[in-house]
Amino acid sequence: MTSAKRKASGMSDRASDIILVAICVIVLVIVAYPLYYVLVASFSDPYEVYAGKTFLLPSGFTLDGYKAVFAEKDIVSGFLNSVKYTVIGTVFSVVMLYITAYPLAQRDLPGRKALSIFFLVTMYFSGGLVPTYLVVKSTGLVGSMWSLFLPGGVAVGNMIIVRNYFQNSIPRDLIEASEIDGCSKLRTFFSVVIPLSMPIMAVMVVFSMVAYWNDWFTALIYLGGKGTPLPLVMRNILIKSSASASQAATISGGYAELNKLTELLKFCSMIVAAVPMLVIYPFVQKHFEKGFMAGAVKG
Amino acid sequence: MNVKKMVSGALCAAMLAVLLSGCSGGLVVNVNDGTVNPNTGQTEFDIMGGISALSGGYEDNPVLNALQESAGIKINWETMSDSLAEQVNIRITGGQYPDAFMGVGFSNYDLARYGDDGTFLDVTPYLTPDIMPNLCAILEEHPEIRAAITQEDGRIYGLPSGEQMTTAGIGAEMEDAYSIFSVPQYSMINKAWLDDLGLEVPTSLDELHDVLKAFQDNDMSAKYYGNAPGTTIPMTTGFDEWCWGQNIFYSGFGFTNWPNDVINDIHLRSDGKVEFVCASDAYRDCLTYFHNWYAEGLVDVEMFSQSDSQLIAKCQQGYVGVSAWWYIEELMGDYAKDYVFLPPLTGPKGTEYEGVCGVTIRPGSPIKSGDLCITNKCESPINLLKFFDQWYDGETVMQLQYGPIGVFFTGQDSEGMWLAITEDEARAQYNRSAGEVRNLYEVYGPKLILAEYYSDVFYMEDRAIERLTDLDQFWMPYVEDTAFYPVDCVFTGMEMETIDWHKADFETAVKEREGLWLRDGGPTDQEWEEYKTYLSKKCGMDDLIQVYQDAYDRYSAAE
Amino acid sequence: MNKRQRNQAAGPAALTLRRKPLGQRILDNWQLYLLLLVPVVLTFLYKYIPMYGIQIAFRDFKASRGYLGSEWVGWYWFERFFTSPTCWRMIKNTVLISLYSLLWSFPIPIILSLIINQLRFNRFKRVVQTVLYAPHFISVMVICGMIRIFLSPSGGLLNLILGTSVDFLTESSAFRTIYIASGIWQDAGWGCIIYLATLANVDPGLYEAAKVDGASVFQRILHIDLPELLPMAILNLIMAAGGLMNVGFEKVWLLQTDLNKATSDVIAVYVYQQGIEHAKYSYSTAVGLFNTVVNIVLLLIVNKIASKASDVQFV
Repeated sequence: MTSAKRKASGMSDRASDIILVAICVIVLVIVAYPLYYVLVASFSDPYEVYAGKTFLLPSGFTLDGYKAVFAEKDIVSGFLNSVKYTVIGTVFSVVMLYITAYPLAQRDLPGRKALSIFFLVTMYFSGGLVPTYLVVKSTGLVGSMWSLFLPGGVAVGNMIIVRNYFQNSIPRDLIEASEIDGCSKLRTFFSVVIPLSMPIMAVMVVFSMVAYWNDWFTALIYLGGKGTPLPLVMRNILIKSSASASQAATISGGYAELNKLTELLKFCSMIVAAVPMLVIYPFVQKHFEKGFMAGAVKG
Repeated sequence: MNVKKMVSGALCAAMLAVLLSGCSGGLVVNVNDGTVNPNTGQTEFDIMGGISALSGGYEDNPVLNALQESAGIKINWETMSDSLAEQVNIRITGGQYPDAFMGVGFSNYDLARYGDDGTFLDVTPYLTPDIMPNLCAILEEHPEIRAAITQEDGRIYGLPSGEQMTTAGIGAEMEDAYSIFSVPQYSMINKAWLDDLGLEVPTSLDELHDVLKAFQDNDMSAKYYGNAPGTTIPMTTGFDEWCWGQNIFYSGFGFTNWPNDVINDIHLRSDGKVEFVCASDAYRDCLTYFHNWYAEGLVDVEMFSQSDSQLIAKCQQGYVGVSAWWYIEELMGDYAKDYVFLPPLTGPKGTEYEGVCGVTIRPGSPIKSGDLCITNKCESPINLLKFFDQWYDGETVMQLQYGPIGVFFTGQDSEGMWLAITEDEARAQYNRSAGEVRNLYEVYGPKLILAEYYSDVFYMEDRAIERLTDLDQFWMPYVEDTAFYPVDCVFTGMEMETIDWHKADFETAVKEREGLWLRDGGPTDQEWEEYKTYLSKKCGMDDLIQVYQDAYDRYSAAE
Repeated sequence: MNKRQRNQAAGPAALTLRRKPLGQRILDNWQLYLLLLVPVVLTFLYKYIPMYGIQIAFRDFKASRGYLGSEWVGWYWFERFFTSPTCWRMIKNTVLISLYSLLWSFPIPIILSLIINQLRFNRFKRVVQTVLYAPHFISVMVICGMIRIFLSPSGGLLNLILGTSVDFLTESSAFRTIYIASGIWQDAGWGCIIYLATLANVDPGLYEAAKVDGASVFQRILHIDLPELLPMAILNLIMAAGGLMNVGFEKVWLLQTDLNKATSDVIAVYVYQQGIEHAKYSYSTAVGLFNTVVNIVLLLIVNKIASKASDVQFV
């Protein structure tokens, strides 16, 4: 490399910074505007929104949607339930992912292929809702919080990602060094693999967390109306609203007014449900970047 | 190698699972041997069913509790307002179903299936004056109700429900009464715009065309209501939507193909022949004609995709000249006072449709029997049926539909008719609207609200009276041919299979073609022939006509 | 044969252990089997046992008769599906939507994460990441509501910008674009998460060395970041291929109009309509099974190609 070339690349570094930032700003605007629009719509008269009157500021400003959401008495208990399920569920899922992925990442494990296929099949074949329900019921989980976690078993797609991460992104020499030191596979798992896989663990935490936070269907089917989580509370608010609208649709009248509230609630309930996850995300996000640092310390 | 391995692995596992589980729906006890089960020992029953999301719950419902007390039984309710069908299916499959299902709304197809294998009780032997005096009296007086709930094999698997809201409630003779659903779409036009332009309310499609053109050319939304320029939508509706579709405007071609519960586009001619209008030449001419309106921009481009909320949004901004809805006020909101009914129009001049105005009637809501089904788990059907027999009484069913006497009904007038709570009273006493009070108490189940109750027991709601009055005085005079396919025809098992197989395919295929022709231009001869062949060969149109014709022939012979 | 070759290629560590007898190797790994015990038991219990439900694809399922008591009808439902009027259109649309989705939504998160990873202003980087991730939380129902508003011919943003009044939702030629573009908007940022985590593993020393060598940002991306991402990208590609027939039903269903069915009529919606709306469980299970089989065939093909071309393994 000549020094001239080096100098040129230094220049292009700054230039490329500008280009990268510019690209990101454009992407940011494209992504953020609709998000902002949802927020604005949650404060606007839905009929004015549908008539194309809202662009940057709320049109026909209203707090009716949020009032209706927060008037629901179950919202606090729903929030607390959701936090509980999300925390326990995330811990459960990540543990399951790790204890499945680690053995399957050992290329010399006898029966590895068969075990992989064993898990993989469940990604594609499912017995359907009713047979699964019957098994969950006969194992006594219906009505219990564990029905939300145990029947999910291992999230196979994520497990494969973790397994490949173990295989490809954790330096083999570190593992071998630990084994030469006389560590058992289990010791190696705890002292080398887990600390070195923080970024992927953070990703799995986010994936599981969001999945549990948003899940309402499992709760609807298995919990039997007890310990209702937040998304189900939101859904019930929406169902109630549209039920009263459709009841008014034909005979008794007042559909247009009631339907307006339903439309508004779609936006409001979504925002109320999404905000906690958006607040938590930056905290988890930090761990994505700890990858090499953690490795460097141990190494 | 991989494929084989995976498939065989999956198969082995699945087979193993089958061996392990071995549980099925359990032994089926067929209770339908045509005799009465004399057991009266069971007095506590489990009932599972639907509930309004707005209900206050059935445990504390004073009407239900009083009925249980007088029948000497106790009911444990298990109710749900969400994903009812899935949960019912889970329970039946798992063999863990209750003594009865209430307010589930099983289709005739379901009833036949569950009845055939003995899950649901055949109630025919129990329909005696001893066990069910009220219901028997009603069935005696209304053989058509009995016919509607009787399966082809003569059995009855559920108790009847239905709401006969007809013009009888506003004083018409019972024989000439028409359902509130007879003309679901009331077309309306902005009279203020007409007056401003010095135009008359149109009576023919040609006149409406010119009016719409004038609305558009003068940008009436901007000119008259001061909206932004270019916001005028001369005419907008939904597309084949039940109360807000374009179908009322087809009257100029001799038909109005209302979306309905039987099958869309079915038409019963006055000579008793069944046909599908969507395969008729009038239909073809109609679509060709209206495409021109669409091409000229007189009809909203969004008509094929908009939701009802979008339609309401436009109308309540004052953008719209002509539209259709259940009635005017709801759709037009603050602008409602400027709108008047646009009567059914006659066909275009210089064609065979000149002067033609054929509004056909949409069938009312059917009498159903899927809202109360007793299962083979019930040991003493007599006790349970005695409880439900009380429902077939005007005053009781009134309270199950709206709310208890003393809450929703405040007193009786000089003619003995029950008076409903007014908005002001409801606000003052319960801090809710009258509708909300009603929602708290409404029970889903076998409620049979006969037309005569509206003249003997309680008054219809004001808006319903208003709409029926309009129906009777404004719309029905345009109806020349009052024949319509009866909604309570009974089909054989084979016929139900045919309907089950073809109906959805047929309806969606027709609707898609209809929309494409309206938007892109009417069918060429070749397209038209291909379309008819497609309906016959692929969508089972000929079989469907045969099925509906046969069922109707049996129906009319029985009458 | 193939299997042995691949195992030998797996690395020197595998080679040394290979020599031990099988029983010994199983004993050596008892801790690992112990770890697997709970996942295997749960999976067997809650995933495998219910699989007896699949057989209703070959039966005329009646809830009251149960799974084993319903009449065996063989291939009846499959025949019915293949003779239904729109069968081939549905298969074609399903494949095309998925294929185009894959084509667009696979590379974009990779490109985005490569760019974000090179951002040097940490605060800005965080903001970008959080904003990009946010759309994932918007429910399908709200997304489709927004699409309606933005695309509306009366006052919708897109028509205002273009100066037209086209109802895009009724144009079958626009359906895939709408579906895919909104999908990218919603999930590209979410897809970045996994790639950014992978990129966190790059040794910062490598960048320093590259800088000293005078490599531009573009060259660093090309020679350092991209190779690091490749295994994860290939894995994602294989998984996407294995889910090719799984078009999200809810979104298609909400964006479908009578006039765009030429491109929006897909199997997933049909399965939903038959299974839930018309309660034909046997039929919808059979169609779902057909879908699954196609998915598996695609998965195996792509897996074969990928494992030949790289070190990434799916199975």
